[in-house]
Amino acid sequence: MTDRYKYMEDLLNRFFSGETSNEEERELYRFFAGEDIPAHLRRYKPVFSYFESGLEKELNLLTGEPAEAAEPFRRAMPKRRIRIAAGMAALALILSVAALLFLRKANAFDPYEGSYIVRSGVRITDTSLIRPEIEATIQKALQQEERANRLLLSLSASNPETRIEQIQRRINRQNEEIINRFPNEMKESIRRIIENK
Amino acid sequence: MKQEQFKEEALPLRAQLLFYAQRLLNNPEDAEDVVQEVFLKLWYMRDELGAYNSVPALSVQITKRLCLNRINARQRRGEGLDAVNPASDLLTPEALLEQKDSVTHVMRIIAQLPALQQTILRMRHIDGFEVEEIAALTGSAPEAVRMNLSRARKKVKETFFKMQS
Repeated sequence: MTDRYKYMEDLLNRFFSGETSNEEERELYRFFAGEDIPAHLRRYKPVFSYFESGLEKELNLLTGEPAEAAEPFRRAMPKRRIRIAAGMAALALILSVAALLFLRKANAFDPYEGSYIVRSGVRITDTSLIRPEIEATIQKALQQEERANRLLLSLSASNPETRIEQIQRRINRQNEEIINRFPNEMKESIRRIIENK
Repeated sequence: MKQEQFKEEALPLRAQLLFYAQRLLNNPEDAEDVVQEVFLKLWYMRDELGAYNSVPALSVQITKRLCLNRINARQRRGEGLDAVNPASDLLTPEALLEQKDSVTHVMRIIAQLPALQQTILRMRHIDGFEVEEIAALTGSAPEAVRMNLSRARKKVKETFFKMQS
């Protein structure tokens, strides 16, 4: 009998190392299902009853399937849906940015906004009507400015002495014009007043 | 799907999955466990595999998820919660009472094991596969499967011994 117990103890150890075959395990189940078990092995009785039948009952009570086997399958769909949703969101974003740019262009900033021209007492505020006139005026003003600049430039280009002479000559010419407007007998006295002599 | 067909279609992916798991987990034993689990999951899904566009892509997805689960579990273990929880769960008087009740006690034993160990127990004890056959399905060395089987059985034994004391 002790030989049999020794054999069973050996099977027991190999069972918990994962080394027994199906056949050997059936032997273990039979042994622990019986009544002839030495005291020190008795506590294994429920353990082997579990491996023989309890395990299956538990699995059947759970789901009948390993707990997570279906998990990736269920997750695959929402992921695809998220991709579609992301695509739609991106499209909506692109469209709204395009619309924004388009509207911006339509309402482009008008520098002449609020300008008006008064013609024969009527105030014209329609910018589309007065725009050509405003632009022509601005062109003229710019040309004027340009000419003034050119004059200043030519003045500053020549040396200071000749510049003073030029100015003096111009003043003299203007004085002469003013004096010429007066009758001959007054010219001498006017000249004296203007030239401060 | 027959066993042979499964081996032919799924197992060529093994090296690639192992490499991937190894890169994510940086631990050869964990990577081996993950790959075992991936193939066992695929095995239990074998009849639905035709519904997927690409089985290699599916296997990579499963591998990635299992690896991330493991990384999360590691972090929990780092906080010391993993070690405390199951033990204290067993020792509360309510839990002991529940386990002594014959109906509920069948429910709580295998549910505490990691998924891979649950699956191996199921294949071994219910589907009647030998260790060598499981190893062939997962492309693993029989020792690697045996180690997980051994851990699972010992855990079950300890659970029963705790209930008896």
